[in-house]
Amino acid sequence: MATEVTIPNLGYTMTVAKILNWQKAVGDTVENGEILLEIETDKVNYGIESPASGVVKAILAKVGDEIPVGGLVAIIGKPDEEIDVRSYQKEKKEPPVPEKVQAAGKKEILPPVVPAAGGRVFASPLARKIARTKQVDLSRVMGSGRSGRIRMADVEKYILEGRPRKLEPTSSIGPVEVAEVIPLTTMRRTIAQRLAQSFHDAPHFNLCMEVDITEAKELLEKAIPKKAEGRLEVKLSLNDLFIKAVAVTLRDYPLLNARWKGDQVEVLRDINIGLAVALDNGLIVPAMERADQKRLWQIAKERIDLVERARQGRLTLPELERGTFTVSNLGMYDITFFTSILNPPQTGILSIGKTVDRPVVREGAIVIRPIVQMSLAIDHRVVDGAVGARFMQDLKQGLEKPGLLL
Amino acid sequence: MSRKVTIIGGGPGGYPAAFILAQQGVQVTLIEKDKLGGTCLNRGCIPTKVLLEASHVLRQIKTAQRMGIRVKEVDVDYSILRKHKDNVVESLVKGVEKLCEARKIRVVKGTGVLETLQSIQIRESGEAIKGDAVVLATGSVPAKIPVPGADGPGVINSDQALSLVQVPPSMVIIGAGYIGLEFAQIFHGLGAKVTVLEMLPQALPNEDQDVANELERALKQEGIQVLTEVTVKEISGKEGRKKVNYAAKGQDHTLESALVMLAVGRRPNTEGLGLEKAGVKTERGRVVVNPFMETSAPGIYAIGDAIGGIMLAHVATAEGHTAANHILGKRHPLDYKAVPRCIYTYPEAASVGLTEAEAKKKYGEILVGRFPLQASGKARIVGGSGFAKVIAEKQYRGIVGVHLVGPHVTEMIAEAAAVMNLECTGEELAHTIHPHPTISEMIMEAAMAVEGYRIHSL
Repeated sequence: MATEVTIPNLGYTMTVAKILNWQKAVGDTVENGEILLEIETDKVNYGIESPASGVVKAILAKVGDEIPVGGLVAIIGKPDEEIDVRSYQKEKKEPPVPEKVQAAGKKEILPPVVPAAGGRVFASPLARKIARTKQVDLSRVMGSGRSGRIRMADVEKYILEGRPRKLEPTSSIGPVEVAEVIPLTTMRRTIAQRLAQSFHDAPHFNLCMEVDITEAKELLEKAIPKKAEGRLEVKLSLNDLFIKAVAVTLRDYPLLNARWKGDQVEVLRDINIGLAVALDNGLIVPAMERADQKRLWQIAKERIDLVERARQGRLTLPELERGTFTVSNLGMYDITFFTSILNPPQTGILSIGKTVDRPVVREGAIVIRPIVQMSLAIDHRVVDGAVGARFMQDLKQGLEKPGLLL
Repeated sequence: MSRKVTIIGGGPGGYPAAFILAQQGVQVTLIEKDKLGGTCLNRGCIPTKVLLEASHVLRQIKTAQRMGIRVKEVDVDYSILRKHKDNVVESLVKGVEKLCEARKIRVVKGTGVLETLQSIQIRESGEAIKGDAVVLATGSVPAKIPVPGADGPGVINSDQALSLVQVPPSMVIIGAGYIGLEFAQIFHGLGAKVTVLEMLPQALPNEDQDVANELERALKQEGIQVLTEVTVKEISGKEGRKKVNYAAKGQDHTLESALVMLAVGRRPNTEGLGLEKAGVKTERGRVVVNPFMETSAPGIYAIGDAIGGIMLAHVATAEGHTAANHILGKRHPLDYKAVPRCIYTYPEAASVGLTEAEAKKKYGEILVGRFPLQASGKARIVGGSGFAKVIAEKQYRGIVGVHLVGPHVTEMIAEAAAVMNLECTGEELAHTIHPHPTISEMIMEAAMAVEGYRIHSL
């Protein structure tokens, strides 16, 4: 019996996957559970394991192909098994297409229309059809119809404005030569869409403050690096303390640990701190689960693991989707102060700059103290200024007297 | 303090707007110089449909013999028919008055003139009515043509045609739009010899060619003469013995008839409203508005025939709705993509969206699904001729136009309008279960043809 290898559904917003590489070729022997190919989705790179042991009988998708969820990419069979690959290519490569569509002539790949996480997408049949044909995720399209229903014009506008357009010289001083055209990766496109939408939809405001981390630094210096499960030596960093302090402080501010959902606000039970991790080709925000309940050592261990796997593209979807509040730290780049764009649908994001020794006034005298500048960006639809300010005040107190935190 | 809105014109645009506003606590003053209900109730939709209904019933009686129903003698007492028509109109006007009363709308009889942006003066009484917003819903009047003798005796328009005391023996109707064709059938049914003259190559120049051809054929079969591509040069003679000189294919002809009726369209009724002084922009007599019905003057809205466009009662109502919503802070621009158009002749015609020619021009490649009325079981029972035609653009098979000719199609077109408003494709319409036996099945069958298959046609 031949076994089919299909593109798994890895998350709510996933509609297609791009084939990154094949670890096996036709004729290779493969074990059940062995990585067969790697795919790229809008969020992660993911290795697809062989569902059976046997021989790769056929590979039905090339590197670079975009295959919808459920689409057939390979067939595994017994070494001596005869398989008519053509029958698979015809019948199975594309997900079942309704008969009448075929009757009208053209075959179309119709990935399923996915609803936005936690909600139904209201869209006209025509809007849905265009979205399927053009592979538009309707959950990203703003509806202009009654009650936000997505109409044809909305999808067309989205395609026109939300997708890269051909570069054409527009400058009056003459055409500028394009050195290179870089097609958007799925990740780049997702970042662009989500952040543009966040910036456009969520009225941001920023609250800024300075934190004196003299005591925090002393505390960390006293901590001795711990050995964790063999090879990794865990060393506490300031960042771990920031994560812990933010998570603990959030307990008293449920509205900052919440999601904007259009006509309601969802306050989240767990406090999962997302860590903005820069990659060569993008940005990814894996989240640490229930960080408020974890000890500092545990936070450090998990942070190191998350960042490392983020760089290797080995994160799981839950790790990427569970964040409830984000912390972004650009201290290592000598940035002393910055603000961030909200990571939708979260309500808050804390931006942390580089620790700088500054002259400050303490008890009437000028002294040198390590100072960190932080800014909190908030979605004003959910939270008002005073609430954010109180959160910052509590966070400052926690960080300046870290003994109380731990 | 609640807001105040003044509406000029109590027709099918003005009074629904008044009702929506009043229900939201707005103090509404509705100014009407004649009777509530406007052209639609008093001089348009309603009275013409009473007369057409009579002519349909008469036709049914005359054709009842095929079912073995023997009818000895039929004649029409036009004075009773007129009274019936007036009763229907009167009861509906009363209904609107009652609804105004129940909604505490102040109805002022008189002619409203814009004084300032917030103030309207009643010309007759001099009263000034102030408010936060004004809605102009002054409607339209029958248009004239610049032909010698067009304002002579015995030349009537649709208003006067409805108040004729007796049926003329013969009549020339100039203009083969829906008004001309409906009146042609009314007077033909009542015994007049009717000739319709149309300047353009097709009757119903704005409608789908198949629709126009089918109606023209049916009307001619009944004995109504329809001449297209003719130019009326002069109207002369006295009432009862009118002469219409016209040119067709380079040759001059003369028609004689008792009366001549002009059915050459309607023009916005916007004169003497004080528009210019208030800064309300107009374009060839029609008030210019944006998709929310706002005019160029702040706080002044205009709706209905006064803004031109599609001059139909239900469009005026939708525009009234849009303006009222905008005044209430709800911004829903009006989309004219799915406006149904009905012609109440026999057979009836009803359309929504683009004609085949318009669709071809707009989309290039289109799919047209047709279904002949003769293939419908129910149509065999009730008789009549016609068809259903569903037009879809080829790329996504979104429905862009539906055209129906046949019995009861004016009652059926709302389905197509709903389907277009919801942006359905041929697939949704073809897979909507239609009741059997009904004439509505032909819409489904035509949609199936768009999707590439057929059940009851080849």
